[in-house]
Amino acid sequence: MYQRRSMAEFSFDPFADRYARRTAEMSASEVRALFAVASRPDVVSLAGEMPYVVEDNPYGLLRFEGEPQPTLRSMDPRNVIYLGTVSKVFPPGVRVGWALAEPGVLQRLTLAKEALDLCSSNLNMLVTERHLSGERWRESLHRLVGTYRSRRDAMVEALGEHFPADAAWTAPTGGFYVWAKLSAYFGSANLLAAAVERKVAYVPGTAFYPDGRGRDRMRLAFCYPTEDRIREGVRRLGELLSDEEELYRSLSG
Amino acid sequence: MTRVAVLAGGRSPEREVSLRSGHRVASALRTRGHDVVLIDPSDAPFVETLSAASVSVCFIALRGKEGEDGTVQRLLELLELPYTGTRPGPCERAFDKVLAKEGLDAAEIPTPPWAAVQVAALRDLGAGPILHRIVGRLGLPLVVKPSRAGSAMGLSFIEREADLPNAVMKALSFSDAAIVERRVDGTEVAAGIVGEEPLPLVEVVAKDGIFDYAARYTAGSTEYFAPARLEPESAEACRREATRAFLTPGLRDVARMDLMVDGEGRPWVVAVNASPGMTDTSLLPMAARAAGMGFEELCERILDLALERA
Repeated sequence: MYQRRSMAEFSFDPFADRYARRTAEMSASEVRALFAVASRPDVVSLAGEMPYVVEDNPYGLLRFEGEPQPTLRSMDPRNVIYLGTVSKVFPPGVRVGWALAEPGVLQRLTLAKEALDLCSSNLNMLVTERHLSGERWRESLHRLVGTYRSRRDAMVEALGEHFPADAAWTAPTGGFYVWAKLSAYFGSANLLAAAVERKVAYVPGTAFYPDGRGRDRMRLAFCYPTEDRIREGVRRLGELLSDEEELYRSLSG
Repeated sequence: MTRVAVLAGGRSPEREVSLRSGHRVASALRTRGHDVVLIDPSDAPFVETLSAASVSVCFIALRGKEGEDGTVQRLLELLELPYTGTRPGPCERAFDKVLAKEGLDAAEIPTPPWAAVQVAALRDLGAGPILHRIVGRLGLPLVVKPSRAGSAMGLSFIEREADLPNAVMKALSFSDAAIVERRVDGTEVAAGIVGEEPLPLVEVVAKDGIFDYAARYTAGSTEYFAPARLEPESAEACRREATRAFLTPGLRDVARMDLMVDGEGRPWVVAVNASPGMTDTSLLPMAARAAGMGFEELCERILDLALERA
Protein backbone atom coordinates (compact mmCIF):
# COMPACT_ATOMS: atom_id res chain seq x y z
CA MET A 1 0.00 0.00 0.00
CA TYR A 2 2.87 2.34 0.81
CA GLN A 3 5.06 2.88 -2.22
CA ARG A 4 8.66 3.66 -1.53
CA ARG A 5 9.55 6.54 -3.78
CA SER A 6 10.28 10.20 -3.65
CA MET A 7 7.45 11.89 -1.84
CA ALA A 8 6.62 14.70 0.49
CA GLU A 9 8.05 14.46 3.97
CA PHE A 10 6.51 16.20 6.91
CA SER A 11 7.98 17.18 10.17
CA PHE A 12 5.25 17.10 12.76
CA ASP A 13 5.25 19.32 15.78
CA PRO A 14 1.99 19.55 17.74
CA PHE A 15 3.19 22.81 19.27
CA ALA A 16 4.34 24.55 16.15
CA ASP A 17 1.01 23.45 14.66
CA ARG A 18 2.24 23.30 11.11
CA TYR A 19 3.94 20.96 8.73
CA ALA A 20 7.30 21.63 7.18
CA ARG A 21 7.65 19.83 3.92
CA ARG A 22 10.62 18.65 1.97
CA THR A 23 11.20 16.01 -0.66
CA ALA A 24 13.15 12.99 0.44
CA GLU A 25 13.27 9.24 0.32
CA MET A 26 11.31 7.90 3.25
CA SER A 27 11.43 4.51 4.86
CA ALA A 28 8.21 2.56 5.36
CA SER A 29 8.22 3.35 9.08
CA GLU A 30 8.67 7.05 8.37
CA VAL A 31 5.80 6.92 5.95
CA ARG A 32 3.65 5.20 8.56
CA ALA A 33 4.72 7.75 11.15
CA LEU A 34 3.84 10.52 8.74
CA PHE A 35 0.39 9.16 8.02
CA ALA A 36 -0.30 8.54 11.67
CA VAL A 37 0.11 12.22 12.45
CA ALA A 38 -1.11 13.74 9.20
CA SER A 39 -3.49 16.55 9.87
CA ARG A 40 -6.34 17.62 7.76
CA PRO A 41 -6.30 20.53 5.32
CA ASP A 42 -2.60 20.61 4.57
CA VAL A 43 -2.47 16.94 3.79
CA VAL A 44 -5.54 16.96 1.63
CA SER A 45 -4.07 19.69 -0.48
CA LEU A 46 -1.00 17.51 -0.96
CA ALA A 47 -2.82 14.24 -1.36
CA GLY A 48 -2.81 14.51 -5.11
CA GLU A 49 0.94 13.85 -5.06
CA MET A 50 0.63 10.92 -2.73
CA PRO A 51 -0.15 7.28 -3.33
CA TYR A 52 -2.78 7.31 -0.54
CA VAL A 53 -3.47 8.99 2.75
CA VAL A 54 -4.60 6.67 5.53
CA GLU A 55 -7.04 8.39 7.85
CA ASP A 56 -6.97 6.46 11.12
CA ASN A 57 -9.79 8.01 13.06
CA PRO A 58 -10.62 6.23 16.31
CA TYR A 59 -11.20 9.45 18.30
CA GLY A 60 -13.15 11.57 15.81
CA LEU A 61 -16.48 11.33 17.64
CA LEU A 62 -14.96 12.14 21.02
CA ARG A 63 -15.11 15.87 20.61
CA PHE A 64 -15.48 18.08 23.66
CA GLU A 65 -16.23 21.36 21.93
CA GLY A 66 -18.32 21.89 18.84
CA GLU A 67 -19.28 19.27 16.28
CA PRO A 68 -17.01 16.46 15.11
CA GLN A 69 -14.63 17.60 12.35
CA PRO A 70 -15.46 16.52 8.81
CA THR A 71 -13.38 13.53 7.84
CA LEU A 72 -10.59 13.68 5.28
CA ARG A 73 -12.41 10.96 3.44
CA SER A 74 -15.43 13.22 2.96
CA MET A 75 -13.16 15.76 1.30
CA ASP A 76 -11.24 13.38 -0.91
CA PRO A 77 -12.74 9.89 -1.22
CA ARG A 78 -10.35 8.87 -3.99
CA ASN A 79 -7.05 9.35 -2.18
CA VAL A 80 -8.08 8.62 1.36
CA ILE A 81 -8.33 5.19 2.94
CA TYR A 82 -10.47 5.60 6.01
CA LEU A 83 -10.10 3.39 9.08
CA GLY A 84 -12.87 3.42 11.66
CA THR A 85 -13.32 1.51 14.90
CA VAL A 86 -15.72 1.36 17.80
CA SER A 87 -12.85 0.69 20.19
CA LYS A 88 -12.96 4.16 21.80
CA VAL A 89 -16.72 4.53 21.97
CA PHE A 90 -17.88 0.98 22.68
CA PRO A 91 -16.19 -1.87 24.58
CA PRO A 92 -12.84 -2.25 22.78
CA GLY A 93 -12.93 -5.99 23.41
CA VAL A 94 -15.35 -6.51 20.51
CA ARG A 95 -12.48 -5.65 18.12
CA VAL A 96 -14.77 -4.31 15.43
CA GLY A 97 -13.62 -1.73 12.92
CA TRP A 98 -14.05 -0.91 9.26
CA ALA A 99 -12.22 0.48 6.29
CA LEU A 100 -13.49 2.72 3.51
CA ALA A 101 -11.49 2.84 0.31
CA GLU A 102 -11.92 2.72 -3.42
CA PRO A 103 -12.93 -0.75 -4.66
CA GLY A 104 -9.47 -1.78 -5.92
CA VAL A 105 -7.87 -1.00 -2.60
CA LEU A 106 -10.71 -2.56 -0.67
CA GLN A 107 -10.32 -5.79 -2.59
CA ARG A 108 -6.65 -5.99 -1.58
CA LEU A 109 -7.46 -5.12 2.03
CA THR A 110 -10.06 -7.89 2.11
CA LEU A 111 -7.46 -10.37 0.89
CA ALA A 112 -4.97 -9.18 3.49
CA LYS A 113 -7.55 -9.45 6.23
CA GLU A 114 -8.52 -12.95 5.15
CA ALA A 115 -4.89 -13.94 5.28
CA LEU A 116 -4.64 -12.57 8.80
CA ASP A 117 -7.72 -13.98 10.52
CA LEU A 118 -10.15 -15.27 7.84
CA CYS A 119 -13.00 -13.31 9.39
CA SER A 120 -13.82 -11.21 12.44
CA SER A 121 -16.07 -12.73 15.09
CA ASN A 122 -19.66 -12.79 13.85
CA LEU A 123 -21.00 -12.55 17.36
CA ASN A 124 -19.00 -9.40 18.07
CA MET A 125 -20.06 -7.84 14.78
CA LEU A 126 -23.73 -8.59 15.53
CA VAL A 127 -23.46 -7.07 19.00
CA THR A 128 -21.85 -3.96 17.52
CA GLU A 129 -24.39 -3.77 14.72
CA ARG A 130 -27.24 -3.94 17.25
CA HIS A 131 -25.62 -1.21 19.34
CA LEU A 132 -25.16 1.09 16.35
CA SER A 133 -28.51 0.51 14.68
CA GLY A 134 -30.62 2.17 17.38
CA GLU A 135 -30.29 5.62 18.91
CA ARG A 136 -28.76 4.39 22.14
CA TRP A 137 -25.20 4.76 20.91
CA ARG A 138 -25.74 8.51 20.68
CA GLU A 139 -26.72 8.67 24.36
CA SER A 140 -23.76 6.58 25.42
CA LEU A 141 -21.44 8.68 23.26
CA HIS A 142 -22.85 11.81 24.84
CA ARG A 143 -22.11 10.39 28.32
CA LEU A 144 -18.60 9.39 27.29
CA VAL A 145 -17.85 12.81 25.88
CA GLY A 146 -19.03 14.39 29.15
CA THR A 147 -16.85 12.07 31.21
CA TYR A 148 -13.75 12.63 29.10
CA ARG A 149 -14.32 16.36 29.00
CA SER A 150 -14.32 16.51 32.81
CA ARG A 151 -11.21 14.36 32.92
CA ARG A 152 -9.44 16.58 30.42
CA ASP A 153 -10.40 19.61 32.47
CA ALA A 154 -9.05 17.95 35.62
CA MET A 155 -5.78 17.17 33.91
CA VAL A 156 -5.28 20.57 32.32
CA GLU A 157 -6.09 22.27 35.61
CA ALA A 158 -3.73 20.01 37.57
CA LEU A 159 -0.95 20.64 35.04
CA GLY A 160 -1.29 24.36 35.63
CA GLU A 161 -0.99 23.78 39.34
CA HIS A 162 1.83 21.24 39.46
CA PHE A 163 3.98 21.39 36.33
CA PRO A 164 7.07 23.60 36.02
CA ALA A 165 6.47 27.15 34.86
CA ASP A 166 8.43 26.62 31.64
CA ALA A 167 6.48 23.50 30.63
CA ALA A 168 3.80 23.72 27.93
CA TRP A 169 0.90 21.44 27.16
CA THR A 170 -1.98 21.07 24.78
CA ALA A 171 -5.61 21.57 25.76
CA PRO A 172 -7.15 19.00 23.43
CA THR A 173 -10.67 19.50 22.10
CA GLY A 174 -11.11 15.75 21.82
CA GLY A 175 -9.54 12.33 22.24
CA PHE A 176 -7.73 10.80 25.18
CA TYR A 177 -4.43 12.61 25.58
CA VAL A 178 -2.65 15.76 26.61
CA TRP A 179 0.82 16.35 25.19
CA ALA A 180 3.26 18.06 27.49
CA LYS A 181 6.52 19.66 26.47
CA LEU A 182 9.28 20.07 29.03
CA SER A 183 12.58 21.89 29.20
CA ALA A 184 15.13 20.41 26.83
CA TYR A 185 17.22 18.83 29.58
CA PHE A 186 14.49 16.40 30.62
CA GLY A 187 14.73 12.96 29.05
CA SER A 188 11.17 11.64 29.24
CA ALA A 189 12.20 8.05 28.36
CA ASN A 190 14.67 7.83 31.24
CA LEU A 191 12.39 9.67 33.60
CA LEU A 192 9.73 7.01 33.13
CA ALA A 193 11.53 4.57 35.47
CA ALA A 194 11.55 7.17 38.24
CA ALA A 195 7.89 7.99 37.53
CA VAL A 196 6.86 4.34 37.75
CA GLU A 197 8.70 4.17 41.06
CA ARG A 198 6.24 6.87 42.20
CA LYS A 199 3.43 4.80 40.71
CA VAL A 200 2.50 7.07 37.85
CA ALA A 201 3.17 6.40 34.17
CA TYR A 202 3.03 8.12 30.78
CA VAL A 203 4.27 7.41 27.27
CA PRO A 204 7.60 9.11 26.45
CA GLY A 205 7.51 11.32 23.37
CA THR A 206 10.28 9.29 21.72
CA ALA A 207 7.77 6.51 21.06
CA PHE A 208 6.04 8.74 18.52
CA TYR A 209 8.98 9.85 16.41
CA PRO A 210 10.89 7.65 13.99
CA ASP A 211 14.11 9.64 14.40
CA GLY A 212 14.77 9.89 18.13
CA ARG A 213 13.04 13.22 18.68
CA GLY A 214 10.44 13.68 21.42
CA ARG A 215 12.84 13.35 24.36
CA ASP A 216 11.30 16.40 25.98
CA ARG A 217 7.69 15.35 25.37
CA MET A 218 5.29 13.16 27.26
CA ARG A 219 1.86 11.85 26.34
CA LEU A 220 -0.49 11.90 29.29
CA ALA A 221 -3.70 9.89 29.10
CA PHE A 222 -6.80 11.13 30.87
CA CYS A 223 -9.19 8.50 29.53
CA TYR A 224 -9.12 5.83 32.22
CA PRO A 225 -8.37 7.28 35.69
CA THR A 226 -10.96 9.20 37.67
CA GLU A 227 -10.53 12.95 38.13
CA ASP A 228 -9.06 12.52 41.62
CA ARG A 229 -6.51 10.06 40.37
CA ILE A 230 -5.65 12.29 37.42
CA ARG A 231 -4.96 15.16 39.83
CA GLU A 232 -2.87 12.91 42.08
CA GLY A 233 -0.94 11.49 39.10
CA VAL A 234 -0.15 14.95 37.74
CA ARG A 235 0.87 16.09 41.23
CA ARG A 236 3.36 13.20 41.51
CA LEU A 237 4.74 13.88 38.04
CA GLY A 238 5.09 17.56 38.89
CA GLU A 239 6.97 16.68 42.04
CA LEU A 240 9.26 14.39 40.07
CA LEU A 241 9.92 17.11 37.50
CA SER A 242 10.75 19.62 40.18
CA ASP A 243 13.17 17.13 41.80
CA GLU A 244 14.76 16.53 38.41
CA GLU A 245 15.04 20.23 37.78
CA GLU A 246 16.79 20.69 41.09
CA LEU A 247 19.14 17.85 40.21
CA TYR A 248 19.84 19.36 36.82
CA ARG A 249 20.67 22.74 38.37
CA SER A 250 22.98 21.10 40.88
CA LEU A 251 24.73 19.21 38.08
CA SER A 252 25.13 22.17 35.80
CA GLY A 253 26.72 24.07 38.66
CA MET B 1 8.04 -34.53 42.75
CA THR B 2 8.35 -31.26 44.62
CA ARG B 3 5.85 -28.45 44.76
CA VAL B 4 7.77 -25.38 43.59
CA ALA B 5 6.85 -21.70 43.39
CA VAL B 6 8.70 -19.93 40.60
CA LEU B 7 8.78 -16.24 41.57
CA ALA B 8 8.81 -13.97 38.53
CA GLY B 9 7.56 -10.54 37.49
CA GLY B 10 7.74 -7.95 40.21
CA ARG B 11 7.60 -4.20 39.83
CA SER B 12 11.12 -3.43 38.67
CA PRO B 13 11.89 -2.12 35.17
CA GLU B 14 13.22 -5.60 34.44
CA ARG B 15 9.82 -7.17 34.94
CA GLU B 16 9.64 -8.44 31.34
CA VAL B 17 13.02 -10.15 31.59
CA SER B 18 11.99 -11.74 34.85
CA LEU B 19 8.70 -13.02 33.40
CA ARG B 20 10.48 -14.49 30.40
CA SER B 21 12.97 -16.20 32.70
CA GLY B 22 10.24 -17.40 35.05
CA HIS B 23 8.02 -18.93 32.36
CA ARG B 24 11.00 -20.77 30.95
CA VAL B 25 12.13 -22.06 34.33
CA ALA B 26 8.59 -23.13 35.24
CA SER B 27 8.21 -25.07 32.01
CA ALA B 28 11.62 -26.75 32.47
CA LEU B 29 10.80 -27.80 36.02
CA ARG B 30 7.40 -29.12 34.93
CA THR B 31 9.08 -31.22 32.26
CA ARG B 32 11.24 -32.61 35.03
CA GLY B 33 8.08 -33.72 36.80
CA HIS B 34 7.73 -31.01 39.45
CA ASP B 35 4.46 -29.46 40.47
CA VAL B 36 5.08 -25.81 39.60
CA VAL B 37 3.12 -22.67 40.37
CA LEU B 38 4.23 -19.33 38.92
CA ILE B 39 3.76 -16.42 41.34
CA ASP B 40 4.22 -12.73 40.56
CA PRO B 41 5.07 -10.77 43.73
CA SER B 42 3.45 -7.66 42.28
CA ASP B 43 0.08 -9.44 42.39
CA ALA B 44 -1.06 -8.48 45.87
CA PRO B 45 -1.30 -9.99 48.39
CA PHE B 46 1.94 -11.83 47.67
CA VAL B 47 2.51 -13.36 51.11
CA GLU B 48 -1.04 -14.65 51.26
CA THR B 49 -0.82 -16.15 47.77
CA LEU B 50 2.51 -17.76 48.52
CA SER B 51 1.29 -19.21 51.83
CA ALA B 52 -1.86 -20.56 50.22
CA ALA B 53 0.18 -22.23 47.47
CA SER B 54 1.72 -24.60 50.07
CA VAL B 55 5.00 -25.01 48.23
CA SER B 56 8.11 -26.55 49.70
CA VAL B 57 10.65 -24.38 47.85
CA CYS B 58 10.85 -21.13 45.85
CA PHE B 59 12.82 -20.69 42.64
CA ILE B 60 13.68 -17.00 42.40
CA ALA B 61 13.55 -15.75 38.81
CA LEU B 62 13.11 -12.12 39.85
CA ARG B 63 15.29 -9.28 38.62
CA GLY B 64 15.98 -5.82 39.92
CA LYS B 65 14.71 -4.13 43.03
CA GLU B 66 12.87 -6.27 45.59
CA GLY B 67 13.73 -9.54 43.85
CA GLU B 68 17.47 -9.15 43.57
CA ASP B 69 18.29 -6.82 46.43
CA GLY B 70 17.44 -9.16 49.31
CA THR B 71 13.88 -7.96 50.00
CA VAL B 72 12.09 -11.09 48.81
CA GLN B 73 14.86 -13.27 50.23
CA ARG B 74 14.38 -11.74 53.71
CA LEU B 75 10.68 -12.36 53.46
CA LEU B 76 11.26 -16.01 52.53
CA GLU B 77 13.62 -16.41 55.50
CA LEU B 78 10.83 -15.14 57.69
CA LEU B 79 8.38 -17.57 56.11
CA GLU B 80 10.98 -20.32 56.62
CA LEU B 81 10.71 -21.29 52.95
CA PRO B 82 13.86 -22.53 51.24
CA TYR B 83 14.73 -20.63 48.07
CA THR B 84 17.28 -20.76 45.29
CA GLY B 85 20.22 -18.40 45.26
CA THR B 86 21.95 -16.03 47.59
CA ARG B 87 21.02 -15.00 51.15
CA PRO B 88 19.62 -11.46 51.71
CA GLY B 89 22.78 -9.68 52.92
CA PRO B 90 25.06 -10.76 50.08
CA CYS B 91 22.18 -10.18 47.62
CA GLU B 92 22.02 -6.59 48.72
CA ARG B 93 25.79 -6.17 48.52
CA ALA B 94 25.89 -7.62 45.01
CA PHE B 95 22.88 -5.73 43.68
CA ASP B 96 24.04 -2.33 44.92
CA LYS B 97 26.97 -1.52 42.65
CA VAL B 98 28.51 0.91 45.13
CA LEU B 99 28.67 -1.83 47.77
CA ALA B 100 29.72 -4.41 45.18
CA LYS B 101 32.59 -2.27 43.92
CA GLU B 102 33.72 -1.57 47.47
CA GLY B 103 33.69 -5.32 48.14
CA LEU B 104 35.71 -6.06 45.03
CA ASP B 105 38.27 -3.39 45.91
CA ALA B 106 38.54 -4.64 49.50
CA ALA B 107 39.19 -8.18 48.25
CA GLU B 108 41.66 -6.84 45.67
CA ILE B 109 39.69 -8.33 42.85
CA PRO B 110 40.47 -6.28 39.74
CA THR B 111 37.61 -3.94 38.87
CA PRO B 112 37.89 -0.74 36.80
CA PRO B 113 38.61 2.42 38.84
CA TRP B 114 35.38 4.13 39.77
CA ALA B 115 33.60 6.84 41.67
CA ALA B 116 30.05 7.12 42.96
CA VAL B 117 27.76 10.13 42.76
CA GLN B 118 24.82 10.13 45.12
CA VAL B 119 21.69 12.12 44.47
CA ALA B 120 21.79 13.62 47.98
CA ALA B 121 25.36 14.82 47.45
CA LEU B 122 24.22 16.71 44.37
CA ARG B 123 20.95 18.03 45.73
CA ASP B 124 21.85 18.84 49.29
CA LEU B 125 25.63 19.09 49.46
CA GLY B 126 26.45 20.98 46.30
CA ALA B 127 28.58 18.29 44.66
CA GLY B 128 27.78 19.43 41.09
CA PRO B 129 30.76 21.74 40.58
CA ILE B 130 33.30 19.04 41.51
CA LEU B 131 31.87 16.44 39.14
CA HIS B 132 34.61 17.17 36.61
CA ARG B 133 37.15 15.91 39.11
CA ILE B 134 35.92 12.41 38.38
CA VAL B 135 37.07 12.82 34.80
CA GLY B 136 40.39 14.17 36.08
CA ARG B 137 40.83 11.09 38.23
CA LEU B 138 39.46 8.35 35.98
CA GLY B 139 40.16 9.79 32.53
CA LEU B 140 38.01 9.11 29.47
CA PRO B 141 36.13 7.21 28.13
CA LEU B 142 33.82 6.40 31.02
CA VAL B 143 30.84 4.18 31.71
CA VAL B 144 28.03 5.66 33.80
CA LYS B 145 25.40 3.39 35.33
CA PRO B 146 22.80 3.43 38.09
CA SER B 147 23.95 1.76 41.29
CA ARG B 148 20.76 -0.25 41.71
CA ALA B 149 19.41 -1.46 38.36
CA GLY B 150 20.26 -4.25 35.98
CA SER B 151 20.10 -5.23 32.31
CA ALA B 152 22.17 -2.19 31.32
CA MET B 153 19.23 0.13 32.06
CA GLY B 154 20.23 3.76 32.50
CA LEU B 155 23.72 3.00 31.20
CA SER B 156 25.77 5.47 29.12
CA PHE B 157 29.20 5.43 27.56
CA ILE B 158 30.79 8.84 27.42
CA GLU B 159 33.78 10.09 25.48
CA ARG B 160 33.64 13.76 26.49
CA GLU B 161 33.59 15.44 29.88
CA ALA B 162 30.70 17.62 28.75
CA ASP B 163 28.47 14.55 28.51
CA LEU B 164 28.98 13.51 32.13
CA PRO B 165 26.14 15.56 33.72
CA ASN B 166 23.51 14.15 31.34
CA ALA B 167 24.78 10.60 31.79
CA VAL B 168 24.68 10.99 35.58
CA MET B 169 21.18 12.40 35.37
CA LYS B 170 20.06 9.47 33.24
CA ALA B 171 21.53 6.95 35.69
CA LEU B 172 19.90 8.76 38.60
CA SER B 173 16.47 8.24 37.02
CA PHE B 174 16.92 4.58 37.92
CA SER B 175 18.62 4.83 41.27
CA ASP B 176 19.68 7.21 44.01
CA ALA B 177 23.34 6.82 43.14
CA ALA B 178 25.34 6.60 39.93
CA ILE B 179 28.58 4.71 39.37
CA VAL B 180 31.12 6.31 37.08
CA GLU B 181 33.68 3.78 35.93
CA ARG B 182 36.70 3.84 33.63
CA ARG B 183 35.75 2.07 30.43
CA VAL B 184 37.92 -0.95 29.72
CA ASP B 185 38.13 -1.77 26.03
CA GLY B 186 38.54 -5.37 25.05
CA THR B 187 36.63 -8.61 25.12
CA GLU B 188 33.39 -8.84 27.09
CA VAL B 189 32.87 -12.18 28.81
CA ALA B 190 30.36 -13.63 31.23
CA ALA B 191 31.45 -16.16 33.84
CA GLY B 192 28.66 -18.29 35.25
CA ILE B 193 28.88 -20.37 38.38
CA VAL B 194 26.47 -23.11 39.46
CA GLY B 195 27.00 -24.70 42.83
CA GLU B 196 30.65 -23.83 43.12
CA GLU B 197 31.49 -25.01 39.65
CA PRO B 198 32.62 -22.39 37.13
CA LEU B 199 30.93 -22.83 33.75
CA PRO B 200 32.68 -22.17 30.42
CA LEU B 201 33.11 -18.46 29.69
CA VAL B 202 30.74 -16.86 27.20
CA GLU B 203 32.11 -14.12 24.97
CA VAL B 204 29.70 -11.38 23.94
CA VAL B 205 30.07 -9.46 20.69
CA ALA B 206 27.27 -6.93 20.25
CA LYS B 207 26.77 -6.20 16.55
CA ASP B 208 26.63 -2.45 17.05
CA GLY B 209 29.38 -2.49 19.66
CA ILE B 210 27.26 -1.91 22.75
CA PHE B 211 25.73 -4.76 24.76
CA ASP B 212 22.73 -2.74 25.92
CA TYR B 213 19.19 -3.78 26.87
CA ALA B 214 18.11 -4.28 23.24
CA ALA B 215 21.27 -6.21 22.38
CA ARG B 216 20.74 -8.44 25.40
CA TYR B 217 17.17 -9.41 24.76
CA THR B 218 16.78 -9.20 20.98
CA ALA B 219 17.64 -12.48 19.36
CA GLY B 220 20.21 -12.07 16.60
CA SER B 221 21.52 -8.64 17.63
CA THR B 222 24.51 -10.09 19.47
CA GLU B 223 26.99 -12.83 18.67
CA TYR B 224 28.05 -15.21 21.40
CA PHE B 225 31.03 -17.54 21.62
CA ALA B 226 31.01 -20.29 24.22
CA PRO B 227 33.63 -21.04 25.26
CA ALA B 228 35.12 -17.56 24.80
CA ARG B 229 37.93 -17.11 22.28
CA LEU B 230 40.57 -16.18 24.87
CA GLU B 231 44.16 -17.23 25.45
CA PRO B 232 44.18 -20.08 28.00
CA GLU B 233 45.93 -17.91 30.63
CA SER B 234 43.37 -15.11 30.21
CA ALA B 235 40.49 -17.56 30.44
CA GLU B 236 42.00 -19.08 33.56
CA ALA B 237 42.47 -15.63 35.11
CA CYS B 238 38.82 -14.80 34.32
CA ARG B 239 37.58 -17.96 36.00
CA ARG B 240 39.81 -17.33 39.01
CA GLU B 241 38.68 -13.73 39.54
CA ALA B 242 35.04 -14.61 38.85
CA THR B 243 35.17 -17.36 41.45
CA ARG B 244 36.69 -14.96 43.98
CA ALA B 245 34.00 -12.39 43.16
CA PHE B 246 31.43 -15.14 43.81
CA LEU B 247 32.88 -16.48 47.04
CA THR B 248 34.11 -13.29 48.72
CA PRO B 249 30.71 -11.62 49.23
CA GLY B 250 29.14 -15.00 50.04
CA LEU B 251 27.04 -15.64 46.94
CA ARG B 252 25.30 -18.98 46.78
CA ASP B 253 23.98 -21.56 44.25
CA VAL B 254 24.20 -19.52 41.08
CA ALA B 255 25.58 -16.24 39.80
CA ARG B 256 26.97 -14.56 36.73
CA MET B 257 29.99 -12.31 36.80
CA ASP B 258 30.59 -9.96 33.86
CA LEU B 259 34.18 -9.21 32.97
CA MET B 260 36.16 -7.18 30.46
CA VAL B 261 39.45 -8.63 29.25
CA ASP B 262 41.78 -5.80 28.25
CA GLY B 263 44.31 -5.72 25.43
CA GLU B 264 46.91 -7.35 27.61
CA GLY B 265 44.67 -10.24 28.52
CA ARG B 266 43.92 -9.04 32.06
CA PRO B 267 40.39 -9.55 33.41
CA TRP B 268 38.40 -6.80 35.11
CA VAL B 269 35.22 -7.69 36.97
CA VAL B 270 32.55 -5.14 35.97
CA ALA B 271 29.38 -6.67 37.43
CA VAL B 272 28.20 -9.36 39.79
CA ASN B 273 24.69 -10.74 39.28
CA ALA B 274 23.23 -12.84 42.05
CA SER B 275 20.04 -13.46 40.06
CA PRO B 276 21.18 -14.02 36.48
CA GLY B 277 18.68 -13.97 33.62
CA MET B 278 17.30 -17.30 32.42
CA THR B 279 15.73 -16.19 29.13
CA ASP B 280 16.47 -17.80 25.79
CA THR B 281 19.12 -15.16 25.06
CA SER B 282 20.59 -15.12 28.59
CA LEU B 283 24.23 -15.86 29.19
CA LEU B 284 24.08 -18.31 32.10
CA PRO B 285 22.01 -20.93 30.23
CA MET B 286 24.38 -20.48 27.29
CA ALA B 287 27.36 -21.17 29.54
CA ALA B 288 25.64 -24.23 30.97
CA ARG B 289 24.94 -25.53 27.46
CA ALA B 290 28.63 -25.16 26.61
CA ALA B 291 29.32 -27.37 29.60
CA GLY B 292 26.91 -29.97 28.24
CA MET B 293 24.18 -29.05 30.70
CA GLY B 294 20.78 -28.47 29.12
CA PHE B 295 18.36 -25.84 30.42
CA GLU B 296 16.17 -28.32 32.29
CA GLU B 297 19.18 -29.86 33.96
CA LEU B 298 20.46 -26.39 34.90
CA CYS B 299 17.14 -25.49 36.56
CA GLU B 300 17.03 -28.83 38.35
CA ARG B 301 20.61 -28.39 39.63
CA ILE B 302 19.79 -24.94 41.04
CA LEU B 303 16.60 -26.26 42.61
CA ASP B 304 18.45 -29.20 44.18
CA LEU B 305 20.91 -26.82 45.82
CA ALA B 306 17.99 -25.10 47.55
CA LEU B 307 16.31 -28.39 48.46
CA GLU B 308 19.49 -29.62 50.12
CA ARG B 309 18.99 -26.83 52.64
CA ALA B 310 15.32 -27.65 53.28
